[in-house]
Amino acid sequence: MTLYKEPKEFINDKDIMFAVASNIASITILFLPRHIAENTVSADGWLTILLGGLIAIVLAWFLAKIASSFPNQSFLSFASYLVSKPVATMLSIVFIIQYIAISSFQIREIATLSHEYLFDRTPLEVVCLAFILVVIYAASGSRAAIFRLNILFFPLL
Amino acid sequence: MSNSSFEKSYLEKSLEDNIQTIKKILGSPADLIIRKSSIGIIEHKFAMIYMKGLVNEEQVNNNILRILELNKKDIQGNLFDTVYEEMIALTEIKKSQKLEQVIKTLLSGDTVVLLDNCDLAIQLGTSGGEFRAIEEPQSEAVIRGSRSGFVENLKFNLALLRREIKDPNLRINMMEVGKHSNQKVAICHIEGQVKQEIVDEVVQRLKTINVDFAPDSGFIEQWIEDSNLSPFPQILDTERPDRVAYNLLKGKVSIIVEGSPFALLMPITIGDSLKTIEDYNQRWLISTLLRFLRFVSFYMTLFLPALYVALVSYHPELIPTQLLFTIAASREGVPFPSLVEALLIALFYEILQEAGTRLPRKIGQTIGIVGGIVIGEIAVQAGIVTPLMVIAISLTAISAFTLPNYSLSIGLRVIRFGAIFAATLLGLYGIILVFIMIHIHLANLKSIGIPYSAPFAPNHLWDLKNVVIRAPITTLTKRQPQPFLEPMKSKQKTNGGKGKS
Repeated sequence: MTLYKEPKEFINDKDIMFAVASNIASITILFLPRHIAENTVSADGWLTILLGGLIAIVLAWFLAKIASSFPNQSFLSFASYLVSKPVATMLSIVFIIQYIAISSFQIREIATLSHEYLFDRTPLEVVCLAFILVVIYAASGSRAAIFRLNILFFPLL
Repeated sequence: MSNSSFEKSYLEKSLEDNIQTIKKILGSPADLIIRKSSIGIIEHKFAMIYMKGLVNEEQVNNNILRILELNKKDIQGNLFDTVYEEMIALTEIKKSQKLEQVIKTLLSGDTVVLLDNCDLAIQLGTSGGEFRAIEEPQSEAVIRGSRSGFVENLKFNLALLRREIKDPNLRINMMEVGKHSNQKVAICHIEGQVKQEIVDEVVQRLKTINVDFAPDSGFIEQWIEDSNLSPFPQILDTERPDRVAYNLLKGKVSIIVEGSPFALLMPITIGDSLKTIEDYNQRWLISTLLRFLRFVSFYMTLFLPALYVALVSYHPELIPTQLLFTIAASREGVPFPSLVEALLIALFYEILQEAGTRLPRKIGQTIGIVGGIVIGEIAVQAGIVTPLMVIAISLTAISAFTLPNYSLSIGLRVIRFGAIFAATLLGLYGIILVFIMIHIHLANLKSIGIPYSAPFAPNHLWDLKNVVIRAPITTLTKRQPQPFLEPMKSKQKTNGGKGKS
């Protein structure tokens, strides 16, 4: 049954907090130590994380400032207000590509992980596909629901 | 005969004509009683019409017929007004000119008095007759708590509710559903305790109902629920007036349907289906433990057989070695893969349960013996299934019954099969995927516009004290999930994320 008055669902700061935290931690926790240990020697490891983290924090702070001065607007709408429409579209496309890359990377990591621990004979593609289908199911719901999902799974991290 | 023929018509002056019209509309059935008589002394003709069995006949005879017949006063002035205002000794009294109205009240158990030379009818609330007495609710037994449950009669049910809540703000709005049954539906809420938008939404949805007859509130529930594809009930049904009262005071809306002992409560969250009213009657430590137990059995119902299938067929290394040997030994003679085995027992169990519900009570024991012995022992001895699988399925069955809401537990039984299939295909990974999918579904689900996964997912940490645990009663003073159910006055507090708008 559809709603007569579709209430506006707001994503509040607490939702975003959970979402960002689980995005950062997520699967990275499992493979970051290995990647770093492979490419660095002794103290270089934590320096990389620290510097990289600082840069990311500064950028995120800027982004958050910009975004919070345009409440209830999508990225595309406030970006085209700041830098003309074509540039904004370009930026959005870059974002889309970036997110596709990130999610495929993550799914690949999950698949490798389960391949390692759970099944060694199942083809990777099957494992990936199953997971992608589940992710599609999540993405087909409302936007607020995705944030709720992040919170639901936060304690499991 | 169609309804339209008398929809707009009015009563005539002549008594005889009116009686004939009513008889014609109803097809002069055997249970239609028309008693013609005349008012004492002045000898004015009148007729008293009612349906036998629907009215309280004692009331009809003593308070209407006898009073009118034994009248000793010479009535001056307007006869109708005198009869209407002074003579009849009943409190519930109405007048009407519309034929449709007269027929409707007649069919719902009122008595109609018609006077000769008068185009007005007097409708008297005399509905009565035989009803089931108030009994202990069958589907929601408690050890400590009120013993009264709702019955089929709406009037009684509303009275039961009023006895619990003596609040002048208790609002009961009446509506009618059912094209042919014209059942009354009461929408109850407590003004000031509930968000007006929720009440409006419920009323809007009720207006869309288009059925001939609603045999139970389950009909209404399915018309107005948010998602009919979901295995989770988005509206709670209860037989207990105390539960309805508690929830009304916590900012919910209740619908009580004529002819159904199940009241509906909305909007609810997943936590509400895992609560019983008894949680509040026992001391908090016990209740908290019981809540934990229910969460455990919630997940056990969903995943236990699947987990067993996954472990046995994909990840035997996760089972303790000694147990693994036992399992391997018992699986030796079993000809089927663990999926078939799981489905077989689950199917047996479902058949047993369905048969147990439908069987007359006297034969019920037979099912217990047949089920217990045949499935529990002989099937294992015959080497069709392994004993561990029987344990897994029966544990699932029992844990499903710890969930206080039957609609929820049958929903979970459906998902359980999905989990078994996923476990067969992808082992533990499959179970994880099903687990994630269920939570995606819960995050998307809504009940009358309220997120179903609250207060877990729009996270309100302090509301969890009445969901995951049952904190001491002295600390449970607010409605939850708070921002959704708390009425207007505190709305400004929860606009986080919207900036300073």
